[in-house]
Amino acid sequence: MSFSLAQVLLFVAIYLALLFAVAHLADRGIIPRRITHHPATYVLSLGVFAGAMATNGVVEVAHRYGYNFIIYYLGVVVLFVFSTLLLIPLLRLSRVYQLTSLADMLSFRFRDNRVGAAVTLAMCIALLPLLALQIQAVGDSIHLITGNTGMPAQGGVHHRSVAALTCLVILVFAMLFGARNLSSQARNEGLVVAVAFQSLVKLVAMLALMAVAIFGVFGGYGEMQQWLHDSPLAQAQLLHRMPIENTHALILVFFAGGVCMPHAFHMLFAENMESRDLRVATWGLPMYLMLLSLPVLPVAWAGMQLGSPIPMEYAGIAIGRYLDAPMVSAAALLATLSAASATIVVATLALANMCLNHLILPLGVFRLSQDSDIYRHLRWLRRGLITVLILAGYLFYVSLENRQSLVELAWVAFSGTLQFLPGVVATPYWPNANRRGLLAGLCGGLGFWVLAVMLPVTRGYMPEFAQLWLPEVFNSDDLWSIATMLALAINVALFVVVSLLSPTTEEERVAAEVCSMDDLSRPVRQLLSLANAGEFTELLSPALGERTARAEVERALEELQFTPQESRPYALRRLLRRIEANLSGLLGPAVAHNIIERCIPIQAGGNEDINLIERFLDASQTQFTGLAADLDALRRRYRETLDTLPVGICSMGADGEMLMWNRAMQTMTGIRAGEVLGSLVTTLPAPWGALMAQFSAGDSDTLLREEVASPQGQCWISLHRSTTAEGDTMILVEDITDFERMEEELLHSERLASIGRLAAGVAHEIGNPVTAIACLAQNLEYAEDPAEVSATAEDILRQTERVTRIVESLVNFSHAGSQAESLELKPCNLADCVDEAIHLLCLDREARQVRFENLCDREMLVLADSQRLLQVFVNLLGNARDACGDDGHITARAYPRDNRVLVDVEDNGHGIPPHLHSQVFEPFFTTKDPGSGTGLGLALVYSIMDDLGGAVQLSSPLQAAPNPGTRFSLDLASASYGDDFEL
Amino acid sequence: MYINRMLVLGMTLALVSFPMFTDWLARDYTAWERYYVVWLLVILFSWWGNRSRHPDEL
Repeated sequence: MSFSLAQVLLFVAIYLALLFAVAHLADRGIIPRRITHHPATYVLSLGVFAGAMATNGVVEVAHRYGYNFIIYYLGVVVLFVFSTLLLIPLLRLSRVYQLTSLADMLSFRFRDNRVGAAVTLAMCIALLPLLALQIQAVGDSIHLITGNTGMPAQGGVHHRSVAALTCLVILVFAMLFGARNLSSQARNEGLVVAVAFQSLVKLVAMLALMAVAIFGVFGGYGEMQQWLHDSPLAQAQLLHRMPIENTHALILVFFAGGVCMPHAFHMLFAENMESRDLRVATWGLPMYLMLLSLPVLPVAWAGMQLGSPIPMEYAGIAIGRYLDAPMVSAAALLATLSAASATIVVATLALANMCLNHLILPLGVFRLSQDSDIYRHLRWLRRGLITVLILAGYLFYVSLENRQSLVELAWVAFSGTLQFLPGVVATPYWPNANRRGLLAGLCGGLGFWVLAVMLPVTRGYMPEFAQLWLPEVFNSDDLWSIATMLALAINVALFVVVSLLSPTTEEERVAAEVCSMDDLSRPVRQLLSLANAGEFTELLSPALGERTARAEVERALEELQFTPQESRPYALRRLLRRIEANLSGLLGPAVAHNIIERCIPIQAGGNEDINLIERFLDASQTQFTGLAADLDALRRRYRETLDTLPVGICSMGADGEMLMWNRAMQTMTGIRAGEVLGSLVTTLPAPWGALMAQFSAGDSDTLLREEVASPQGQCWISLHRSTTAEGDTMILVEDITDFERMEEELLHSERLASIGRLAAGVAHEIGNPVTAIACLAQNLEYAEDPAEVSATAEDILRQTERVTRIVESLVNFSHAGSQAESLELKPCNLADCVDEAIHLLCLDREARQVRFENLCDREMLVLADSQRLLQVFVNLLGNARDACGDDGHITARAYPRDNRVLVDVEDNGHGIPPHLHSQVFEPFFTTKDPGSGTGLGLALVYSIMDDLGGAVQLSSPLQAAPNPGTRFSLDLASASYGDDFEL
Repeated sequence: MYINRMLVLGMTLALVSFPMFTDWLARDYTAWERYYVVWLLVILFSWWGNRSRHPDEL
């Protein structure tokens, strides 16, 4: 019993409608996510590799070559078992850089639009036989299932119409579910689930055929084994060995097909959302192929047993007709239809993407209007291309007129795609490969393939020159394997030689590094001339149109969780890369890269982007093993050490971008590392931005005792700078607030101690005028003469003024330098200040009596805080007095120099040995006996002079012994009355 | 380039055991299921070798 054409077409329509339904339900989310995202679904979707060749052609191979049919599966099994060698590196690249096709990957690696265009054109040519194979398998199956015994007549219109109708239905499915999502970011849920469903149907149908073959034709497994033992034909078939070179060629061809075929590449990489899915596929797909291959031998043997005139490729239909079981024939048709439709849909979708991204858009064949909806245009362009490709496949099939078997067509297609294998392998493994080598290899290999394989097999034509050249090759029975390997050899030879002899551009070198298995990608810290993230929209609008540009920028901002006000250079670079990756998924890497280069102002050069590299390493932490894991642990340990140091550490690149900001810096400044890293130093909140920028640009590597405002209040810091070989600046920020406060307290104690030393003299000094007042008052009691009374009153007043003056001096001195008082710079009379200091020192009667001489110009003014300057002179003159003997002579002399005033305090004392000069200004250093001084006097002088913006220098000895003497030179700013000044 | 030890071990075992398997398969050419036993062993090796693989790991 056979089916009528109408019944068969209805069957085909119902099946494809079921496919539509499955895809639609998956797209809508009605099929649970745990099914649509299950690794088994992904594995089944990879079954798209097994097209009509796996359901029909391989039965013919088993019939002719026995066990050698397994070689069809062996190449793909090896590819997946050893996925770490090729598939996983390519998966990493495709996901990071949004590479959805082989043309995307090779044009990304070799940085040339021509590579993508050449690969696309070549793939279209190589895949025509594969598309024709699928159409032929379906057409022939329908022809046979409708009761015909012989093969379709060559050029039969009726037969071609059926095939055309099938192509039309498949086209509608491809347009509806394949071209829906434009971006490679989103998975085509419906398509993946539908293809997985088809793989399942294909498997179930084949297993059903096997069961029928074993139990229906032979009557049981044992009977089949018995037949096998008794049948010389079957044994001869099993023993028929293929030449070893053919075996090698077949393994290589199908190995390459597993990754280079556009439909295999698309399902492997473009529709892969989870890395673990590929891990499951490394054993899942070999398992699926094993189950799919199980029915092949029993079905072939059943076909042999039946002796049907129907070609062995359609043995399943022959079994159905023999058993008069139309459902068996239907199962065979279903297997073929599932396999062929899945291959046609996915292959044409993948090819359409390639044509759009590498032929249509880059070559400007069709210009996108910036005012319109680019997404809608792209969607319809893609659908148009799918239509053209399916039509091309159909026309190619028509032109073949059924002269070739499915196996021959498969061989032509697979041997053509083998020519892309050298480029694919070179992508992660050979950094020295360049575009010239690739194009030369492709042209040479494919050219030979066309002459020696495609034309002879599909057209029955071989150019005469080919027959004359290497006649032992072209006239050989094993032409197909020899020609295939020769084509590959020519490809590889040209690829290698031309790559080695021609220069590699810098762009290619960088891309090779990115793709390389051995190198961690080292992105460069490029400077973008953008103020904030919102400017991307304006810059991309001329190329994409305002609406599309805004949509893409907003999408990238959302994915990275940035705001449009984001201005950190590091963040802007990340945003740029994300926008380029998204555009790559939409328009192809070549067009995307071109748009970015044209529209975004990027300054070339720059050092490595440390922040991004650290981010990559942090994200990959759990994936390192062995030595890499140890090195990463060491890096983290040193990073943690820097991060937890009790001193602040920050670093910036030569372009001013902040690279490091440890926890001590966060505590000191109140600014989190996340806000700082990747931003420019000048954008840091005040006062840190200006301080760091000025210090890093200054000449000095040290900045001591800088007062800044911090979250804890005013604090004192010291900055130390160093520069690395790469031009990065490291700044160590030391919080010396506690030290400063302690020093101030100690210095205040020194002042109080000075006052204490003066106290006895002051008491004695006050006692004298008080006694005089008492005497004068007693005299006044008895004075009668008004003139005498007046004179006595005046004497009393003079004595009280003397007391007042003594007390005032003491009070002022005790308050000098108090923490409570801020520094107040005013014009001060230098001579008066010295006089005051001398007066205070003279109050101490118990001290050595020396001769003080004030030689300062009475009119000379300096810009200083009078009380602190007084403290300086008290300390210096007091030390000088202590150093002198009984004939001590101490002078104070001032003279102008430029806008400064130099004051020399000189004595003829015992001097200070040169080896002590470096220590005299240190706190607590003293040459006096214990208890005679605190050792803070000169430290206080140094500190005050520093506060006043001046300096103090020591010179000693001034002359030969016995009184070598000492000179302290003060450098102060000169002033005049009426000067405006600021603290 | 860091190469996973299991990968090298597997390839070495395959190379070493290849003659043994071909002899076993050829001993009874009608025992077609033996090919699938070898295939199953390959699947098991693939499952075991890739069970904790990370994308960055060879």
